Amino acid sequence: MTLVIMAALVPLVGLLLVLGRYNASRVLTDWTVLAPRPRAEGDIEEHVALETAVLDATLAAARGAHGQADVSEVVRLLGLAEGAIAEAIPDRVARIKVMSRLCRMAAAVAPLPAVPWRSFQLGTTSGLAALASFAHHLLVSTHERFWLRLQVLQGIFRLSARAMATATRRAPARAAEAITLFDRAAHDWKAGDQEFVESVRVLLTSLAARPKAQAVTAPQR
Amino acid sequence: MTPSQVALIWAGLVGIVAILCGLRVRRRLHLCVGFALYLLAVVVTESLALVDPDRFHKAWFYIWKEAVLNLLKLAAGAELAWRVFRGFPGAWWRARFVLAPLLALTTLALVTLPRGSTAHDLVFGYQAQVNTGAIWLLACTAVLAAWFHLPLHAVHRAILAGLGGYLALSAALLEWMRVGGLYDDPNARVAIGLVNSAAYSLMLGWIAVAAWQPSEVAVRMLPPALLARLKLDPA
Repeated sequence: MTLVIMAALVPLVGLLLVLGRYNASRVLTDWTVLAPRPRAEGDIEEHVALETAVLDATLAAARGAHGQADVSEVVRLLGLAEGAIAEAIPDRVARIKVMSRLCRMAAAVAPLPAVPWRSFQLGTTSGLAALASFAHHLLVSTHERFWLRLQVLQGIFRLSARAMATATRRAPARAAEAITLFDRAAHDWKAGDQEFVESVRVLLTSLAARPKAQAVTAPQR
Repeated sequence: MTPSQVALIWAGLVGIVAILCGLRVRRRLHLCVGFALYLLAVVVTESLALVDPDRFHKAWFYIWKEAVLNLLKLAAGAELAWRVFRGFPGAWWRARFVLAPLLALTTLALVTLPRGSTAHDLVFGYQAQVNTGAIWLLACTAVLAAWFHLPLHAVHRAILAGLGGYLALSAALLEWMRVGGLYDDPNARVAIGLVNSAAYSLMLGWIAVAAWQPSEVAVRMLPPALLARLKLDPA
């Protein structure tokens, strides 16, 4: 087989493999997940703020119930808050997965710092963030760092939700300890949310940016 | 021309008309202007050869025809790449580093055809190279679009697969003829020409199906704002 025949058939094989595996519906669904409406980042921010408000209100009510020594109410309220978070987890994970795929095409992702480990109160989440901070300095490109940041956020959401579930299970026997644990997990969830919203904002800015024609800057918090 | 050659030319013309009508009826002509122009040029040049073979079934006409069609093929490939990436500046910026050299090299191979070249020179010296360059352009467009997770219109996917497949087969057949010294064997030349024309008709049929098919459900379900953001056509 001559070089010309090889040169013609190799790209053809690649072309057919890529188009054979290409799933148009999945690509479009991914875009819909990240940007359901033109003001995607505003929508995501509002969505996150609403969940935070529900979490705060439920946790405050649980504290109040604990002050009145109403353990069954504490258990019910923590269960409600934990249920809300459990429902939010698939949404966060789906968005993070899409963002991981889409960050490849951003012309220049604005350099973001590593997820600050001091923002977290649980040992597991702050440990994960600390490890990632170390890895952050070993990575070279902003794309890799952004990808790592997304993976860390995914881990933080999962670990916080797991801590909330543990707190809810402990509540009937040790309500005070459960509320403290839940409080710390909720704090970490919210801190993760702040970082998540900022990541969405930076990614959407980067996706719309034209290299050299428009500077991409990290937004002010 | 033998009856089978004439029949395949007619099949190709019917396929082209089917594609152009499909694109027009479904309002998709603007999705691939370069490819439509290429098809129109094929219709015109093939019709001339059919209507007046004594005048147009000649080497000089063949050389001009292939040169024009090659240019239009490359233009169609470049336009396709632009349409796929234009809504995504970051991806386009990176894709240019791959696609621009490919387009430049292929165009260079095309325009360096010396004056006084014979049909034999064109077919065996340039055609396979130009076809190979065009396949690389199409393949890189598809691979980069998949890598960057970009939406590809069904018509664009059909053109990428159909045109890419035909060009690869055509380049391989030409090279096989050159290496095997089959050009001087009239029977082999006719047989290979028939295989090539049959592959061409198949490609046209493949693209015609995509041109006539209604738009995908996933595209129709998208909100208009997102369609505009992704530069996707609901047609």
